[in-house]
Amino acid sequence: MRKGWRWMLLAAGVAAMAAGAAATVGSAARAGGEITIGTSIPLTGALAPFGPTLKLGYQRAVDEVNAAGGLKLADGRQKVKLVVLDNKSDPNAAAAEARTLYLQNGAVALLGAATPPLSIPLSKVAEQVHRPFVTSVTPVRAWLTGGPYKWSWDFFFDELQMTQRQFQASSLVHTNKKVVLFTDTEEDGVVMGKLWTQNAPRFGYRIVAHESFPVGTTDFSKYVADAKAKGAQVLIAQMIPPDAIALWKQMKAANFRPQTAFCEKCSNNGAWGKALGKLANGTSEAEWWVPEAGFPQSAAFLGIAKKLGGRSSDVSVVAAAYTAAKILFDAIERAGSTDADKLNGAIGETNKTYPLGPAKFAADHHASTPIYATQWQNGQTYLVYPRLKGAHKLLAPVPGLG
Amino acid sequence: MHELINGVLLGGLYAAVALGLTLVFGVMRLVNLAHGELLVGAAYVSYAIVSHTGLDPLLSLTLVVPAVALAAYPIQRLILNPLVTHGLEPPLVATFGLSIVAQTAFVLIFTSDAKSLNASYAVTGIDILGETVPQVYVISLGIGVALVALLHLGLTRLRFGKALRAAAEDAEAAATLGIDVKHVYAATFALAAALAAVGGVLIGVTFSLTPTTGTSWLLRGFTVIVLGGMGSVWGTLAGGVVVGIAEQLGATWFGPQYHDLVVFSLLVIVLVLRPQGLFGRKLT
Repeated sequence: MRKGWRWMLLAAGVAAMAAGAAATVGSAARAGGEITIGTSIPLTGALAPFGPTLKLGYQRAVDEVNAAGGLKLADGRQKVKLVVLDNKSDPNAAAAEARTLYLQNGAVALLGAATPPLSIPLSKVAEQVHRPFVTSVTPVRAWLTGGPYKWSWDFFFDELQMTQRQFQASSLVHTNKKVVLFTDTEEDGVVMGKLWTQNAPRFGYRIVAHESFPVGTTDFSKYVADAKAKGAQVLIAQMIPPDAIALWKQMKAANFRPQTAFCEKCSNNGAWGKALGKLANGTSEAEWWVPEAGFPQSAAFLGIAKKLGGRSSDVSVVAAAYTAAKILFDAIERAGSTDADKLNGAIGETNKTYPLGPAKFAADHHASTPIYATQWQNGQTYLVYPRLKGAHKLLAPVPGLG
Repeated sequence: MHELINGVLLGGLYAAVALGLTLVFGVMRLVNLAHGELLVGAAYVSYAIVSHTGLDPLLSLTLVVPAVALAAYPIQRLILNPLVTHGLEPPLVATFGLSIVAQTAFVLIFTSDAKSLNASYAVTGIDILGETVPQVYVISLGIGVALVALLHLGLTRLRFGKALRAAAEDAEAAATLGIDVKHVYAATFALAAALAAVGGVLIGVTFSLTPTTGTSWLLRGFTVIVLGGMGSVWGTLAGGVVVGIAEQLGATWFGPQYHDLVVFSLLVIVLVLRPQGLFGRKLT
């Protein structure tokens, strides 16, 4: 009994400290007049090509807001502080960092990484801590498999529409409509593989071979021989850049030269052209930003493309990241507060056109961007479909593999 | 037939990758967890040389091999040698630390973007028994066999080789015979790095590389040497071929997502039936 009061005192002290910490975390988000926004992105690891350009896009939005004096809230303007962590392309690390950002750094919201393997764990943490999370560069259907979501939002392309572009673009040239798919066993590879198989007949195409393999596969020569034997003239791949580089070398060695070759997730970065040189010529990919679309700040992002070494998906990632951040910042200003419920509600009311296009979220918290097909031509990527003003001619057969 | 041909050819590459690993273990009983980074580091050095000079990647080995060996010698002499006498764990942890440092350095210097060593023989095919295979696969087999043969000759015919085998057999006894064991250890590590340099450049030419590529190749290298017999030079070649064929057949019979399962199941079976590996543990 005598010891009992000491335990009660200890418990009360711990409870007081916890309450104080919670209050501190809640208010730390705006300590010193700053709003903390966090992001866990892949600056290293297999998905590292996305990291620096995501950071560039987020920072551009933050710098823009802070240059204007900060975000306008009900009680005055407050500047934004961006906290960036490197999740090393590891989903477990991403989840852990999300908790750190929300709970220790006091982030009022997080901005996303790239690809479902990273964005889904980040979304799940947002759902657990009940604070908003806005992402892009994450195909929406694969992302929705991690839902349902109440606090997480994704503005990117719908795979159903994206997996039509390869067939639509290939129809610009003559092919025998025979398709070979190369997909890895990641979530997006599985989803895309099924959608391409589903979409092909609608456009008059036939999947004659579907090669599925784990990430890290190095030898594709058997699959290339299979595709060649079956007469495929359209190649569609969904794989990470290191694996795709090996595949492209082995296709050239096997003298397999399709009419069109799409490399999704692999040729969607400037490093593709640098790694393969002339071999990259003619690789096509689905793209979510082109200057020809004429959405806000097209000229500005074209200028960024030049600074990054030329037109490629690198600037598309910058535009996507910038858009996600602007959606979040506009929502904060509409809410007039960083209160989680108000902010989350404001994100849901988004209805505006951004560099990626018109953004309006559906009930399941996704919004779809327009999607285009581009092709690597002499070290840069150019729009080939749809045939907007300024689009280039689709080169076929694939020049780099000839 | 495709699987057998590809498996044998890739076995040569795997042997080139794993040879340095078995050498270091055979002499010093050291499991070098930084071996993957030696492979990748050499490939990056080659990349830097090729980018600036336009030299062919395999020709760049004339510069890469001595550079990597010279860098490796002091690492063994100054960092690992003092730890070797303290049991197995300290050098193991040290090499793990070195691998992390190396990976970070690769990111800082070369970025995380995937890179490739480009050469015409990497994108040209050759017909073997009706199967078209990349020319570089054939070159890799040739280089792998040549490295194994040269290493065997060096260990059995050269004075340094005899000193190395003596140190491997009994370091204390070798020291009493006047052999500078510390130098032998450092020279062995440098030689292992030189062999890894060849493997690394072949990886960069045949496939691609990123700062973390070394990890998967280290695992593959271990599988090769454990199957072939740790410390056995010819066993490494045999292990490489066995792993190459097992990967190819595993992917064909069970699906590509199971090829690792097939390889490691084979490894377990071999270890249960013959714990010393196919060719035992002997440094020749």
